[in-house]
Amino acid sequence: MPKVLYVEDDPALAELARRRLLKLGYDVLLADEGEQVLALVIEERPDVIILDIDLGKFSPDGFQINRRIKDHPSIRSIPVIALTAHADAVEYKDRAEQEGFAGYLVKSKGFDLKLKELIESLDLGGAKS
Amino acid sequence: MSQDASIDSPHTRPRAGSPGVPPIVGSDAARTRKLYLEHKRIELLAPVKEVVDVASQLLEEPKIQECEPVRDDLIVVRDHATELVRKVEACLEPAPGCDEAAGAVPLSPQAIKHKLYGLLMIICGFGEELSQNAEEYHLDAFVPDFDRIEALGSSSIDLVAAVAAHLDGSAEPAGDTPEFRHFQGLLADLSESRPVGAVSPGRILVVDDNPNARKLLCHALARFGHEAIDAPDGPAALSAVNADPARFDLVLLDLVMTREASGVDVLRRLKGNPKTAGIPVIMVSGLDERSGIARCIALGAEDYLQKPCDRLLLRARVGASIERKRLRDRAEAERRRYNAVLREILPDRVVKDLARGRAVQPRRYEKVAVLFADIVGFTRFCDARPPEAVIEDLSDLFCAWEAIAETHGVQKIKTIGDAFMAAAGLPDAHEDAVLDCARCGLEMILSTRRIQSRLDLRVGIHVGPVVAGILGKRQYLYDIWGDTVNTASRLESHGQAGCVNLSVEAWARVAPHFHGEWTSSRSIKGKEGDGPVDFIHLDPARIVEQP
Repeated sequence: MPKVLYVEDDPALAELARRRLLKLGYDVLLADEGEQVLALVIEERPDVIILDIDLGKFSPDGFQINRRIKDHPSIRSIPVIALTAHADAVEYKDRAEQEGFAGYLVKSKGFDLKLKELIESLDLGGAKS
Repeated sequence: MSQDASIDSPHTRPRAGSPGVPPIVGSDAARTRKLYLEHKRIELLAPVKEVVDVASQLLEEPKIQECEPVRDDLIVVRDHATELVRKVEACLEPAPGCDEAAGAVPLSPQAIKHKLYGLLMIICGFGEELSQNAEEYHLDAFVPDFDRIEALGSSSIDLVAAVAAHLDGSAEPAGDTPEFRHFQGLLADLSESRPVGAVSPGRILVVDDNPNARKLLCHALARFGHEAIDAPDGPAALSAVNADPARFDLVLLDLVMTREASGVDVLRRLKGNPKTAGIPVIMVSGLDERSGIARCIALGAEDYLQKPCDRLLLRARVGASIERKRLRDRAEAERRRYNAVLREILPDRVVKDLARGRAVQPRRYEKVAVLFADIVGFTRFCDARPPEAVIEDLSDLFCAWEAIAETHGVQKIKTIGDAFMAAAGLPDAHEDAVLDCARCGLEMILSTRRIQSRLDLRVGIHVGPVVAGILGKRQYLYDIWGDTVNTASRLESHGQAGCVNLSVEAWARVAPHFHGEWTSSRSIKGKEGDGPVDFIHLDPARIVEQP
């Protein structure tokens, strides 16, 4: 069962996503604060990381977290999917591509299904999943 | 003042900001935008408030209180919907103070979407969760309520997307959607609008032949802050509404009433009378009366409620109906106000043509009586007085003359400095055009003396063909042109002070009606070659109108 780390600062949205991903057959880990992410990734070795780009003022944003992951040799190969509420912020999408995100998703109705598609399209290294 | 002189006189230019100049109403995008936003806010608040109500009510259910996971989810829904109500009000509120600047929304479309979307997704998502998990917790009975939460959230998401797309400009050219164009027609002045939040209380007529049902409804409405008035049957309802249609904001009408008239009859009568057709009607019906309800909606009912009335639906539908009626009333009042402004500056028939989208082409009219009136000794009068006092006197005089012209069916054309120009017999020709002008002129002279004893008036009237119409497309002025106009002007400028001065042609049309006139021959400046012209003078002190 693929393990998903879902980083989202809104507890209600995180809870909703957790339930959806569980139903879709994933193992779900939640984090609500950017500083925890790196330690959690190193310890838990998720198969995929879903990162809300905008984690509030007091946290590093998704781009910064992604850079830290990519700077870390042992975890840099874990695919990271960017998640954003800015449905129209095209520049986020371009930037996500440039900064090595494996995918980009806008929070919208039914995004759990789109997320599933996106995860399935990733090559999760076979061995773990 | 002569017509010729008026061509380059500075007085002929419309003064900006003067009461006669209509406000520019057609392209006021900022106002339209504000109206649109207010409408959207009302539209969006209704479902979100309903979510708060549905969730709050479910949380009072003992079965749900016992089931912790469902209860917790409902608390999430209720709290997020409450938060959303606040956000909707904040996001779509025209910013106070700077509202005139651009009708600006305090937040960008992105921010609106960002703020509202997340909350709506939570409401939607948890509604779906609740519905899916209901069976597991043996709460199947509440599935329709859970589905309702999901559906309300879902429709709100679409609404937010539409609003954001609109503000965003992705619906460019700005507002080129049927709905937005509709709002451009409304042009309500939002500075008059009250702050929107809770639905404002309304006066509601409750019609039901069952006294208990009636009492129950009235009681519920009173609890929501409305004033409920009840009627035991159709005739009582109709007489209450007909006595004072403006009194009621809404009628709640029982579909099946055994006594006297049925709900359908009452509805048909209300909608058939233009005075009462604008009052929204919500039908109240039992189960299995769907065809009756469908018929009522086709007949113009606004909405329906099923008995026994669900408190939440009652509140939401009544509130929404009243809100929509208020919006319509305000739009209608604005439309009337603008039409009234148009009527002040243009003849009725021209307004009708404009309203039907017809171009008002200048047209030739054969027998038009043209009246010129000018104040005698005005320059001397002005020299002796401060300008403010002069303007005040002039304004009193013009108002009095306008009223006199109106009573005689004479159409004011324009004022030129201290002169007044009017006409009769257009756009619709009639036999008494000159008589109307002559009577009007005599009365104007008398009223001028009454208002300012140091002033007198000189009136000239001629009859003949003119061309009348509107030139240009802005700041409409209905005007007349032609030799008849110039002659009337000369009859005035060369005429006797304190008299109505008629041409021979004009006199021929009214001679049987008056006696006591006197005549003179006068040379006209610029037309000396034509020889002296005959003037017929009507002095109000001497003239007698024949019965």
